[in-house]
Amino acid sequence: MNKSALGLSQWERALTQFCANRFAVVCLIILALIHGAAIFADFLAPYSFSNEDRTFSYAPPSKIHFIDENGQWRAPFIYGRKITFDQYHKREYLDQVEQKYSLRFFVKGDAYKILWMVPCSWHLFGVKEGGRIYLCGADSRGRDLFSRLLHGARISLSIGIVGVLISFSIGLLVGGIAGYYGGKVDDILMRVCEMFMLFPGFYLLLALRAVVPASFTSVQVYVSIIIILSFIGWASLARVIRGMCLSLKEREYVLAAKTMGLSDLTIIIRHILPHTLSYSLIAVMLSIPGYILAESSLSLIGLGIQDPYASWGNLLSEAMGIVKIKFAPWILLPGFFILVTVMCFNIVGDALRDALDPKSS
Amino acid sequence: MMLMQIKNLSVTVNAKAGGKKILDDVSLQISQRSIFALVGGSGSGKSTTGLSILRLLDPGLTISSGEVLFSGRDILKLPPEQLRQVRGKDIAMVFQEPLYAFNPVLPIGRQIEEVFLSHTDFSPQKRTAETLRLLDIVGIKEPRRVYKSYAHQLSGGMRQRAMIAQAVALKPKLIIADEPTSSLDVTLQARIIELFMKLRDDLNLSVLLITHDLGIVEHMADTVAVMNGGQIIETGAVTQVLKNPQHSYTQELLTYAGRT
Ligand SMILES: Nc1ncnc2c1ncn2[C@@H]1O[C@H](COP(=O)(O)OP(=O)(O)OP(=O)(O)O)[C@@H](O)[C@H]1O
Ligand SMILES: [Mg+2]
Repeated sequence: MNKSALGLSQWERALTQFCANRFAVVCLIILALIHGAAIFADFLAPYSFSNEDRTFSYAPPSKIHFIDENGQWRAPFIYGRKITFDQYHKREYLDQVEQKYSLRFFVKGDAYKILWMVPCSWHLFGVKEGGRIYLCGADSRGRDLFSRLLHGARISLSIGIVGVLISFSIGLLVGGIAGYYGGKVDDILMRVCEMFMLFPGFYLLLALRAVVPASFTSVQVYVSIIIILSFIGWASLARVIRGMCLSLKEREYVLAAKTMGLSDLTIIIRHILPHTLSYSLIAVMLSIPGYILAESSLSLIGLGIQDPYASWGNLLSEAMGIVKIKFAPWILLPGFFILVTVMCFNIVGDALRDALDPKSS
Repeated sequence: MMLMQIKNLSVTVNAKAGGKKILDDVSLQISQRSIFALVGGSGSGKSTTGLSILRLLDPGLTISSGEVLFSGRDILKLPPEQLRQVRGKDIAMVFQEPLYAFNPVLPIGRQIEEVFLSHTDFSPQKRTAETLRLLDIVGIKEPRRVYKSYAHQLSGGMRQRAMIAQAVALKPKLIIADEPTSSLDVTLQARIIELFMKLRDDLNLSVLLITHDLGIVEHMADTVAVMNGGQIIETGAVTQVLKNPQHSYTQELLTYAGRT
């Protein structure tokens, strides 16, 4: 009997094929880096997400110097800067030659907790008290965009992943139940799915968001956004899984499991759904971008994560005026991160599909 | 002592699909600690009879009348939860092709353990220990290796033994074996048949053996029923029926098997 026909060495073959797609591997590495950075945001970022200094409003990215004003080499440092206004009241930051802040590694700064547990105040890099380092420039309130990007990655990416996990659990279970039982159960569940799919996603999102009380704290808003997104996303998956279950339940091992008196739920979860794994994995990869974009859109129009908390969407909402973009182009960076992440997820998802489902290509 | 009695069982294809009768007034009795053979041509309704007992017919088929009495209860009238308890615990099933009867993505041992998971409150260690013991009972030499193997990694004979191990896990009183040896070569067939007979003696169980093979029937069964076109046309002690068939169809079967 041919091994691959039984779907076993399929995974090894898929892995080889996936690795042959260099571009997708690069994207996977980028995704791993971005997610790693999000997890260790507190440590990698020199400041907390709310650390502000209004004297540095829209300060451009700090230039890191190696040669001082006398033409001498020295360890990397930045100059202190002072704000002035030109005749058109445009901000200008002038380097103060007498103030030098050398770039230091493993410095103490804003306190945080490693992985939400261990209190700590070490940061990967920073400068001495009094100076401020802005790798990617500052926002209107003089907060470090680099730090906020890292902290925002946490929220944006976790909404994507948690949202997908919740909606896929619902989708798998509903699809599994509908396909397994068939008949009336199937009819009812599928009509419900269709109802959800009928509404244009974004308007449903707005409508549901309107139900969330304004008095909610940021954490509650965060959780409710995840729930809303999962609520919208499960239906299309459920339909596909249901279709797959219709044929999977005819397999002889399902009948064998029934003769042994396993409960229906056990059979669905252990003997039917695992066979939809490769499809689900592809679908997960390809739908995470949708969640990230949906959160970003909500936050962009001010309905998502609220200041001072950062997400890529609400960071980008600062970039809604052409004047701001003209004079502080770095505030577009969150958009770049959204773009790269979404693209990477799509490319990895596509490569995964090619690897797992050779028929599709 | 009677273990199971099927009384006037009829199965029809759902009206929408024509309403054809597939089983017509089937009655049979299986006594304790016996091997009951059900023989007949292809399409005569043997598998349908076996599956009706556990109420696992294809949704396109309905049991239109009859009773399946098992230790005094009519299985056809049991509520779902009690029916689930009967499956596996009182009556288990062994299939023709164990390659397909095992889930290809779960190790054999894990699948046998599922039976304990569903019907007992054994601890995980106890489940594993019991599974290894079962594999040993059915004559598997390296229980630990088989425990971790996937169905496709085992030989046909081993797979069938593992399937039988699963079937006897909860010491059922009846095993329905639907052509359990048809996918095996002749020497293996004999071994599996011996295993069934040993299990009958050791575990006090009865076997409803569905088969084409009159050689096996002669060697193994106590009672035989001959089916044709959804009806049982002849039934009796094996020695009697094979030596002195009453019905012309039975005589034909014997002729084709080369035994007249
Ligand atoms: N779902 C179904 N719908 C319609 N007819 C069916 C269905 N299942 C089985 N049948 C018919 O019922 C009859 C009996 O089938 P069954 O599988 O019980 O035969 P069998 O004696 O086990 O044959 P074999 O020796 O080939 O396994 C066959 O004629 C078959 O075509
Ligand atoms: Mg059959």
